[in-house]
Amino acid sequence: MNEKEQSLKPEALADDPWQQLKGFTRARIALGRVGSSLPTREVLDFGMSHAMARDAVHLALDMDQLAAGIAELGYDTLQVSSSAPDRATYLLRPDLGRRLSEADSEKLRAMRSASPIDLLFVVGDGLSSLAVERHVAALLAEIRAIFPAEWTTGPVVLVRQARVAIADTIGELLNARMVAMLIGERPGLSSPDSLGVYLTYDPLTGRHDADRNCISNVRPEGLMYAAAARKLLWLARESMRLKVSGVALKDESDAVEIEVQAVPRLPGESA
Amino acid sequence: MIGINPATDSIPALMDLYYLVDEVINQYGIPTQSCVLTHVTNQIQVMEKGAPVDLVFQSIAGTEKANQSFGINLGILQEAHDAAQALKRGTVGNNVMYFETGQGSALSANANFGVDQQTVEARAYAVARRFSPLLSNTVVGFIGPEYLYDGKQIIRAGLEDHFCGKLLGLPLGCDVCYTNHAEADQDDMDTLMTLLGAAGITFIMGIPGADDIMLNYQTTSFHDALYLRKVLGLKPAPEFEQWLKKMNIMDEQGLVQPVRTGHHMLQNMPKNLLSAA
Repeated sequence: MNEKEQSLKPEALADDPWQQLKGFTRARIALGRVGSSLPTREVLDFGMSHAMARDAVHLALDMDQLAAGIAELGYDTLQVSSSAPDRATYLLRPDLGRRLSEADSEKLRAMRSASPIDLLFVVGDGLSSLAVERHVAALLAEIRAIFPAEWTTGPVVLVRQARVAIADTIGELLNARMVAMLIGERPGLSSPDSLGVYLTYDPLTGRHDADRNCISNVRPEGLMYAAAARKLLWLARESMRLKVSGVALKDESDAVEIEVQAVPRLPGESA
Repeated sequence: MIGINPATDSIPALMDLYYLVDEVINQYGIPTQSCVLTHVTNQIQVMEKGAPVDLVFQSIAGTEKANQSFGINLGILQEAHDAAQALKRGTVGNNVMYFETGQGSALSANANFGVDQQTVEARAYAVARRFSPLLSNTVVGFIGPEYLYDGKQIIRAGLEDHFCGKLLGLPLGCDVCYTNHAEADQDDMDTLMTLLGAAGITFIMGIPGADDIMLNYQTTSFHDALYLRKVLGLKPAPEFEQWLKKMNIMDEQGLVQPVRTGHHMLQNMPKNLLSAA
């Protein structure tokens, strides 16, 4: 707090003496209080963050730009749409977001490969186009660098107005052993751009959430791209070996590496 | 109760969290229980490995098919319940379960058999009651706008759930919450929280600044709990109130004390917490 702020600080405002803990987390800790309530600056900051998260939900994904970025990595791409015609319908009808459009179902059925694809990648806008725009190409690059070269992948399928389960239908139509869905998670107040990755073995329309493994919060401030790629590789290998995914496949990969840029010292911690 | 939503379900990482929160509770002598919100089958595994599990968490729903979509059935819940009781960690009771529910979960799993959201939710409370939970929690606005469209619907559902919880004799609290794709904001939460406080809700959630940065939704904060106590003249649970006073967090009048830099809780941080950081 500089001198000017100090002089403007109302007498009733009490700061918390654990400010340095803020260096460990993006959580809203050490906000201080006036009486037992929030200081006005925190109420205003919260309102601003909420407005930004609302914007992330409604921003449309630029599919052509995304396709170009993925093509640069050496993947073929394919663009399809769910049965939800627009954002408003998408938000109210998740069933339509899980269902591939009629025209695209026909298109994919015609493309079905005779020999199975080992691991198919599907990318969906989900609830945050910002997450997809910022992180998908970078994550796919890390994946490409470490995944077994002998695994076939097929085209990366990009889906508009997508929910997670639509990837299982796409995997089924294209004859995939496993499908990995990269999708924008619902934006948080402090994280409008979290990417989620869902892995299904033997994808079929009608699979449940319990049949998928999830890697959450992929973004530089959360789970880094390389760590997420290693986790997915571990899960995919085990999934291939055990012929299963979801709650029957326990994630016993190493503890998550959370990269902290500057680690401040905790009070009471010796130097 | 202190709950952790883990960012990963990896067993070694979960084990670390159990030991970490157990040390925090013991070091400060907090009259509370810990819970790590991972799938019940993971919790059975960590109990087999000897982790200090106070409460077993699971999301539950009101039909067999919806529970199947969560990867559970009554048999698995019973197994977890028995395993937790066998740890004999209870000091004043043997209620070892913590459940979460929410209107719309069966419908979203295509498992509601044409039954309305509220009725299926009440059936979930019957599932909960069978295992004598310490607490059960309706996470009312988490499901999203396709099931509860706006602030008004979330408020109504929260009150419906509270009513059904009371009717069924369940220790039901409410995660007063909304997501960023719903037509709701924090003012709606202030309204619902105040209504539920007046109606005698069992508990509400405390999340720093009301912002859950792991699950990406907004709920109620520690500040909110203090507001609610003040405006409605409510008090913390007696043993917890005693502890707050002993630790110089609350004064004799029940007001929050300003915390000074040299506060003893800040001086002696638990070792696991330091190494985790």
